[in-house]
Amino acid sequence: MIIKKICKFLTLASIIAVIGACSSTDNTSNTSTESGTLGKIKNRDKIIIGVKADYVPFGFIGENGENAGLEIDIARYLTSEILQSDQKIEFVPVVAANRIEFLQQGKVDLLIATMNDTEKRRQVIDFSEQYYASGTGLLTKKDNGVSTWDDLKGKKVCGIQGSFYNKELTQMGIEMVNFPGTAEAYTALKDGRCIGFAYDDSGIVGKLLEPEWGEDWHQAVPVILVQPWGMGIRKDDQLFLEAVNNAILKMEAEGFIVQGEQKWKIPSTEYAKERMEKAKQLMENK
Amino acid sequence: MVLLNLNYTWLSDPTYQAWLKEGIFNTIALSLICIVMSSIIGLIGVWLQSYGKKWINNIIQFYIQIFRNTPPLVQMFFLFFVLANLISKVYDPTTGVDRPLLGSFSSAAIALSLFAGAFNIEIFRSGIEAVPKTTIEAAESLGFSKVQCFIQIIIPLAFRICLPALNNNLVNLIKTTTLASAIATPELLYYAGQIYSDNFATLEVMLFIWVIYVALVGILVIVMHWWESKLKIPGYGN
Repeated sequence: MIIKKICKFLTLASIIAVIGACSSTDNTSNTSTESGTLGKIKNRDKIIIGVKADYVPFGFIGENGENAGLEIDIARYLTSEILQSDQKIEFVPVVAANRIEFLQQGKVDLLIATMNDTEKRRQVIDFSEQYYASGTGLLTKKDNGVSTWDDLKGKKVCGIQGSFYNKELTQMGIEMVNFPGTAEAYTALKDGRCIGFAYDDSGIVGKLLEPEWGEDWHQAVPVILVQPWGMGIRKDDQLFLEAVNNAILKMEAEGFIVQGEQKWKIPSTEYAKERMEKAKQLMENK
Repeated sequence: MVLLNLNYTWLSDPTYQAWLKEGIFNTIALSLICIVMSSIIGLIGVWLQSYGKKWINNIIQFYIQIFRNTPPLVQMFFLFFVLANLISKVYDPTTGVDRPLLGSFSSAAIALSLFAGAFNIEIFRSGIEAVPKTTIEAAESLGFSKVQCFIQIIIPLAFRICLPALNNNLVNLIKTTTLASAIATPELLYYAGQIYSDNFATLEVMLFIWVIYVALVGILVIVMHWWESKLKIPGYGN
């Protein structure tokens, strides 16, 4: 018992000593011109990034219990650009309902969480250069002959409550049956309660990687309502925004995302290729 | 200050108007069906109990314990995702395949009726046990049969005693219908959630449905109180 207590005391003391040392070095290095989030990250020598943990294959927990996915690779690339090492990173899992609050409260420095860049969100946070795009796709059985959104008029389609596309699909004459989460929606789809499941095409891609779905189901209907993804950054954080944007352009010009799609078995998108070409031109002009 | 900034422009959108109308209609329909069905379940249950047969009592006790001691949301999920798959399927032209016979509305109606019915049996029992034994003996000695005695003597007296408790349970039942949104029953909260996610107008939409639920429950309470005062017998109870 006594030894334990001594150990505890020693760890505590060493932590305090380390913090003290850090803050004293902070004071000296703080004289650098960088302020805002970028300065904070450099002082901390670590970047805290909010990522998805339930979105195969973009951000999920891999077999060894570590974060994995295309967005995780992107996060590591950015970190090595900003801090010269892809290990100086801490992942915080976020969900759609809390990610913007996490950023605003300072729990994370940056959001790379399959987030659509929308006008309404731009009123509360800033967005980086767009690095990917997704739209609304439909997961449906291979044998039911559905090939256009018009085929779905008057049919029941499963969805997720609160999704931005529910209103538009309803106006197209589709009867939406919306569930709170994807687990319920996939179950309802398998039970035959709806003809298809309208969801982010990038999320459906991940589901189709599972053998039990890949066999009988497919994404046949053209993807609609395509919206770009941006990384979330706190408002008025110009230096950090520039650092992130430079890293994104460099990454795109190198074809990192196009290769990443192959690595994670995501069907290659026109969007990623176009962005690569654009980024290449921008880099040459610089 | 806050009140002046409220954004109610979404109320003029025809899609939202249609959703809200359908949501209110479904909430009222679900509430009425469950109120009637759960009261019938309560009456039948307590009538069977009055027979005093041990095995019948055991079955009813089992039912009450199962449905009173588990959360209604779990019951709905169980009925909708598990039990519905075990019973027959029907062809549905709107999905192109066979779907379980029990849809989301009927699953919610059955689950909530059974849930509230379990409480209603106990509520009715509390009323019946408050009827004086001597009154029942008097009825029996006057030649009333078991059924006659139950319908004409016990229930009229017991009902007056348990009305306040029944009232409580039915008010709770109306509010519990919001859980049906979890299995995609298009009731009021289901659509309200969609509208506030579309418009970032959580407070405004919440205030709106708050007013509607206060009104719905208010109507039920007024009706029940009116009924209570109508049924009052001078010298019995208060």
